[in-house]
Amino acid sequence: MQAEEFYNKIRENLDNSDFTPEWNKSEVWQRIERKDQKKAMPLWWKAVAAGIVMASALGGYLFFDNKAPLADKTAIKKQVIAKPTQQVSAETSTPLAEAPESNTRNKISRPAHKAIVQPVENAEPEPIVANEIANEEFDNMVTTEGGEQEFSYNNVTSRNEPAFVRPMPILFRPNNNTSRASEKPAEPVKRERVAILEIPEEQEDFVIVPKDKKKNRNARLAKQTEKIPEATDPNKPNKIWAFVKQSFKNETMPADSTLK
Amino acid sequence: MVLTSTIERLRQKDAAAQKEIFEHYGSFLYRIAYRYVRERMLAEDLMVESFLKIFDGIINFRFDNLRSFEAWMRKIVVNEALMLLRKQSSFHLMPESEAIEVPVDDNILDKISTEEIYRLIAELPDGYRTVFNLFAIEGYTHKEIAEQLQISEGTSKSQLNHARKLLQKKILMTDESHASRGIL
Repeated sequence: MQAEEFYNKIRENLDNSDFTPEWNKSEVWQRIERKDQKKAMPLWWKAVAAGIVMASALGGYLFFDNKAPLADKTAIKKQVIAKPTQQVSAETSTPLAEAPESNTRNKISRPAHKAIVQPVENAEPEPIVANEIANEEFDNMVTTEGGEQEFSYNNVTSRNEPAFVRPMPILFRPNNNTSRASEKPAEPVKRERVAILEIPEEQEDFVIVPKDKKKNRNARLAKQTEKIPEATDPNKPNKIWAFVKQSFKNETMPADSTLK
Repeated sequence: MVLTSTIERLRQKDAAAQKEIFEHYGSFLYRIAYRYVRERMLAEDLMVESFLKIFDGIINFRFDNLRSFEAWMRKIVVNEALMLLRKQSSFHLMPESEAIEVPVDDNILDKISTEEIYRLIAELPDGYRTVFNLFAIEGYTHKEIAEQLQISEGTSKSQLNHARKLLQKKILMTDESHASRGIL
């Protein structure tokens, strides 16, 4: 038998027969249906996953968008709660700036922010005396009530009380750190007044001590005694004595006149 | 009989059309699958994968007539079977020395049933059976078989020759067993 005839015979036999080996047709179809549905599932899952991502992104955007004003409120509350470090004797309130109009975000109704209260010292400025000038000059010599002439600064002599004491400037500092509220306020620093003396060159009432010619000191003193007999008078005040007296007076005065 | 409208509905993923195609061509395609893998479970697995590819690929298939449609489905099943055989380690080609030439009577094939032929083909080694199915039943050329199985054409020819001799021998033995039992 030729090979080709053999193959043809087998082919005809197989093609013309309805014989089919045993198999579970319904089960195979169910498996096909299940696998077909599983193949279609990824398309649904992609759509669902994309929807979830979009929804979460939108929710996150809205959440953080609404959280920003809340953070501002918290900051304002903290600022109001903070205690001042200095003694509060009076309060001044700073009005808030008005919100701009025609702003969509500001159209949302919100509770009004509390005004920021800042403590200040009770410092009433004293009336300016006519004698005080902005750029004051030294009045070197004044005549006291007793008729004596005395070296003075701003009409202050060793025998009269100061007519006017310039109020010390009050500094306002922001109270940023709330922890400082528990700390004790710092004691006021004692201030000292320093007067700058301008010694006149030629004054008849004062004895000028020569500095440059020490060699002929005795001779020059004798010469001065002849010229100015008052120089030897111990009762006559000189300008150094006036300065010393003025200094003692200043030390008895409180450094800060605002403190009582 | 499958109508052209059924093919059109099949393109639109119509479940009823899919069921209709399966009912009509299921047994025909299962026979092909069984000849290659010779095991029921593997043949059923092949059916599942093949029909899924048919339902997916029908969109790109150019439908001319039912014969071309049948040939297209048949080719899908054969390719799936070859893929499965390639994955299995049992797929190997039989050494040529094992095949022995046996003379077979002309009308001996008329005496045995189709079921017997299926059984005898299934008894062939994987390499012989695959080349025999591709060449003798599917009508592939040796060049196509060589490309499909990634072997040379000479190997395909010799494997087919040995498959034929072995199958003739089995048919003859079957005929002798029938004769001894007084069936024929």
